[in-house]
Amino acid sequence: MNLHSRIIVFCYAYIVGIVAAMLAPADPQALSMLHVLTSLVFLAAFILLGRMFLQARKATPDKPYCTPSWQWLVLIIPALALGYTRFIASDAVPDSRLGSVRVVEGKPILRIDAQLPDTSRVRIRKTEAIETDIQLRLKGRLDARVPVTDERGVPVMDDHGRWRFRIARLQQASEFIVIRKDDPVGTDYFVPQPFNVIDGVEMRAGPSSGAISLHRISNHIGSFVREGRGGAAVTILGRISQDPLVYDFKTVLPVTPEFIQYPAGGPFYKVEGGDVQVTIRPAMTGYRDFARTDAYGYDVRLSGELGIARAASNPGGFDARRFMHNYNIYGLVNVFQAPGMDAPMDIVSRRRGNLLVEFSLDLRDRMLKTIKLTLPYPHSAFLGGVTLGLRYGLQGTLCMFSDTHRTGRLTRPATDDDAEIVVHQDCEQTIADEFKASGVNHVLAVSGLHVTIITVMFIGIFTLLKLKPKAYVPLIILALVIFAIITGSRPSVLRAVIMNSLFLLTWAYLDQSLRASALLGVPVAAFLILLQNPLVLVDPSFTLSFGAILSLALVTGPVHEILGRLHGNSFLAFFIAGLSLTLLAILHWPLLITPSFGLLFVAFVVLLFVGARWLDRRNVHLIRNLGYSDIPAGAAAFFAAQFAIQLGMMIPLSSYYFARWPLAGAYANLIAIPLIGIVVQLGAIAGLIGLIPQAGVYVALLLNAANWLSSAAFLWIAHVSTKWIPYPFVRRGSVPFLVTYYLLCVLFVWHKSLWRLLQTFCERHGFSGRRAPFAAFASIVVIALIPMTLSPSRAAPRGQLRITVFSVGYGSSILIETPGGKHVLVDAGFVEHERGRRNEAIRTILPALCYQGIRHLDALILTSPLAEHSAGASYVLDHTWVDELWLPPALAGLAPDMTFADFADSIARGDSDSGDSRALQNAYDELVGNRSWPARPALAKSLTHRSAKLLNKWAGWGVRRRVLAGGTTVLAETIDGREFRIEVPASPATDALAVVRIGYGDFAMLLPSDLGLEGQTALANLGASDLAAQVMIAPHHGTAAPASNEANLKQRMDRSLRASLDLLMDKVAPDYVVFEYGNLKPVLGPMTRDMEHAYELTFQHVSDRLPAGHCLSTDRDMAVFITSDGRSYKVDTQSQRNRGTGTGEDSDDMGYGGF
Amino acid sequence: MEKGALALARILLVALLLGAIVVLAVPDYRGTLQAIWSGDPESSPIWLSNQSYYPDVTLQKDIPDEPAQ
Repeated sequence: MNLHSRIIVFCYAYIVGIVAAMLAPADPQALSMLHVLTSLVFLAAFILLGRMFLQARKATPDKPYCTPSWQWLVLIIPALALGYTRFIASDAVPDSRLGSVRVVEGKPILRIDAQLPDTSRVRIRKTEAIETDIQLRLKGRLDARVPVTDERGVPVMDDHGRWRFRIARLQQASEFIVIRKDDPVGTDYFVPQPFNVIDGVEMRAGPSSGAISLHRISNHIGSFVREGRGGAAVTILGRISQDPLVYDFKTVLPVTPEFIQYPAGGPFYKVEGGDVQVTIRPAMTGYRDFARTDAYGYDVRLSGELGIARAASNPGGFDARRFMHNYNIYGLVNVFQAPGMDAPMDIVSRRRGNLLVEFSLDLRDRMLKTIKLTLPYPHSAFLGGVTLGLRYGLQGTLCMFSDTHRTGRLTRPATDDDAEIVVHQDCEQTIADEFKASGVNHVLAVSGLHVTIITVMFIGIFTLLKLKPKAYVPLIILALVIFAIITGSRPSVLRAVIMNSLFLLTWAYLDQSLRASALLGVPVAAFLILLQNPLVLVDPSFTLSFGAILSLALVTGPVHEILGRLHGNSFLAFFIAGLSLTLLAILHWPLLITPSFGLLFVAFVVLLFVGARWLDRRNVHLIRNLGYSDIPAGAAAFFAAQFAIQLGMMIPLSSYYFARWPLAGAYANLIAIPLIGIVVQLGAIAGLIGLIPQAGVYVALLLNAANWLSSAAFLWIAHVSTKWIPYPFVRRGSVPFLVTYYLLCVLFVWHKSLWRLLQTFCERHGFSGRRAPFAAFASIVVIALIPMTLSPSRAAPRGQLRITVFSVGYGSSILIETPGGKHVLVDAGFVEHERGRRNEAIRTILPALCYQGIRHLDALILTSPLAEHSAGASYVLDHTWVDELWLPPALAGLAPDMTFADFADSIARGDSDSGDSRALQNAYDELVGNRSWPARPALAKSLTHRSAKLLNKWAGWGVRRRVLAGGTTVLAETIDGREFRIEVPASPATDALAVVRIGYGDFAMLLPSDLGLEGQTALANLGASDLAAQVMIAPHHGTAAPASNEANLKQRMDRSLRASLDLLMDKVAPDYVVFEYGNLKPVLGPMTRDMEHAYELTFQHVSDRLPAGHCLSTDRDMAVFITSDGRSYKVDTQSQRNRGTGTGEDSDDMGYGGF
Repeated sequence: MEKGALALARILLVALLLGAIVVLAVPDYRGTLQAIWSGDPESSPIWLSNQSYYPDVTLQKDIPDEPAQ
């Protein structure tokens, strides 16, 4: 094995070690032992390697040295150990054992094995069963830190940059902790009082014998955070450790805390790791001091609420908490300043940060100035994104191109507040949306492509200046490091910088080829990045980046070779097949993935190639002998590379991470990638030239004026691709699926070598001919398929009813998986078109369906026309097969040409709770169409695309409209003698609303939709006995309030709830009530304080009626899952599941948790 | 490497020519050129269109730095 191979083996073995730690993590308490083991393994490896080296040196031609066959173990085992240990150390923040308390003859004996290194919190663990409860408290000392402050009350630092404290030594005693005999062994009890020394224990009551252990809670910042609404009030002394993210409505500051005061007024703890993200707003005193790049490196004191990012709120949802952990962010601090309050944040010191970082950030700001001066918005934001990694400029910007663009103006009028740019009005998508849908979003995430462009640009510049590689390569590497810092040092950039640096060094100083350095560079880059932070191994930034480079390096060749065999008629057949596929995808993508049509299409393609062969035999050449090899070499290689990236990266990883596949990317990138090469180079050169005083800005203006054209072309490509080519949801791949997929890719890449190996093997064992190796190859393919069969099924088992109440903010959406295997969706959440642009159908409901493997709904039921129930329906219809759409009677005549007056009339007919005019207008916009924004989806428009046309029928894409009248049965089935039914009970609900009941055997669930107080009373007063249910959704999200001018809302609510909801709950008698609740503002606009108050009162009212833990709310408990076999039922929540997997916390403990 | 360098040189040359055409033909670019020439770049139409894009990055430093500690 040469040195290259050894390095490559070591690096890949390190990655395998990390994967092993992910699959089978050790107890964090064993971390010290793991460190010792790893050190010993490395020591052994060094000794063995040293021995091998010495023996090799002593070798002579007569006595050559043969490397032992176990030599590779010397590399692999230490690498595995290192990877495993690094991951456990990065992922876990273990507590340390302090000592124990043993009860002997009724007396407690304290034993301290390790001293507390600093002010610390402690927990007690029950280590064995006890006869009676133990009540004890700890005694000792607290060295309370009190910051030294200046005359303004702001903490100060000494000349060495250390925070100054006075220490107050206090005797400390904890409150009495009760260790219950009935609690299981292993239960932890948090001691609220902190200690610096524990030297005594007092037992007030207890058994004659027993034992408990004492553990120190690490002062990692993660141990101070608290989940749920409202964080813990804290004061932090720390440093702004990266450049601020400045938006127009807030600034986000990454802060490395050194000390934390927890809780407010409590002691200061020395923080032992972890960063926080601090959000400040323009109203804060001194905001401008922090909302600028110069704030990097400031030492600050800040006060705010410490919370935590949300883990996944729904099945398969985005785990923001894990995502932030991967980047060492363990807490979120919200800083706000109430009127009359002192500034919550102060600059204590303006010490410089790392000089190179400061220089890089300053350079970035100067280049950004040039961009802002020479390119209009949003082209400036686009260039800022692709050149400087400034990702947040395009988030809210609507697309530049529309059918009504006529103004010809580049810029917004600076002074006329009332003027609107017409171009935006009928274009619904933002530029960022269009980039995602067209598959060119990767250009906004600075990665290897950009780094390579910058490298090539600098090589070109230095070559023009006639410099030699040995002279300019170090300069380019320095430039790449600065580029990495400027763009935020994401894994994709780091990977590319390391790889490009390795290539440059080996090329300039060792005369090595690009391929050799690429094969070495990939694992070395991966190793270095994962050594620093093993947690990013599964981060999309890491896997997509390495997936792309490995696809380019390994898959391009075989693809190029296969395509190179296409000549003449076969090339024409390939072209026709590709064109047909593209046109079909544009015209009717659901048809394309309909099995019967898919088979027909495959047959068509086979026929094309058979026909081509037939024509070849008859010497009929329709395009002579033109083929793939006639395409210019650069273009052909580029095409093969794009194909390889689709095959190796986009198809599997896009489905795994996003449950969507940007079909357009396969085409858009053919133009976009060469174009981005021009955009980035011109932008970078213009930015650098703009630094030259006086004259530079004019040259930059000329270059960026040209760049304006190329940026506009890029934006246009993204827009057109999105307009014509769909962006479908796909079933979300599982890890076993990915394993199978990549095993097949490996077979594809190395099929020739494998074939030769098998042939040789078969011949050696007496099997000649092709049959035996073919059978062996086929067997290997079958074995590669095995992991896919191990994919865990996420479907509910037959006979089990599974209901998921999604957490979709102040909206409603419930998935029913019936015992017979059918799928029904009740309501589709809301869509916020302005401000946060939150579309619950796209971001929550459809991804959750794809995660469950559901691409077909037997029914979509809308129980209310209000936007929080129905706005997402058009998006669900556009992306999912739906057999039946069930609507309340008032919506039976829904059509795109319905006027608002007719709509409001049909909704308001006899319904006193139809909502105010704003709610009706929203409902009209979402269901019929928005006249100001004609491009926005609306249910009536989506239904016209789902009519009973031939193609729709073939693809199963048609939708039947049904009406939810009282007494209707939506779906009924009988499973093992137990009846399942979704029905609309005869109810006083008006034509605009539908009450739905789900029944399965002895279990039932009631969905009262948006029934107001009067509707609830009327429903309760019905004689019907079929309302009983174990689980009930809170009507009207719990925000129904009486209309009255009376001041005291609580009294009003109490009276009203007794007369309405109480009556209904008496009739239904639920064990559980679930509130579908969240932030009201996106749905209802401002002035929602009364409704929030009404919710709080209603929630409390219901909680008082039910046992503890039986009143749930989707904003706090996240998604709620109800399962039943028709006899018994179970309720659990996403929050509980997150705790079970360690990504959640027990919010009952006082801030303890967060690991 | 020489081919790449020549390609870069051609791209720059074409960009300069195209850029000159754009500056002459598009009103907002003409306005920007005039504003820079007259020493008042903050009044240029292009700069004004970018007011809400990274507003902390201005043409002037209005918060003086304190000496490093």
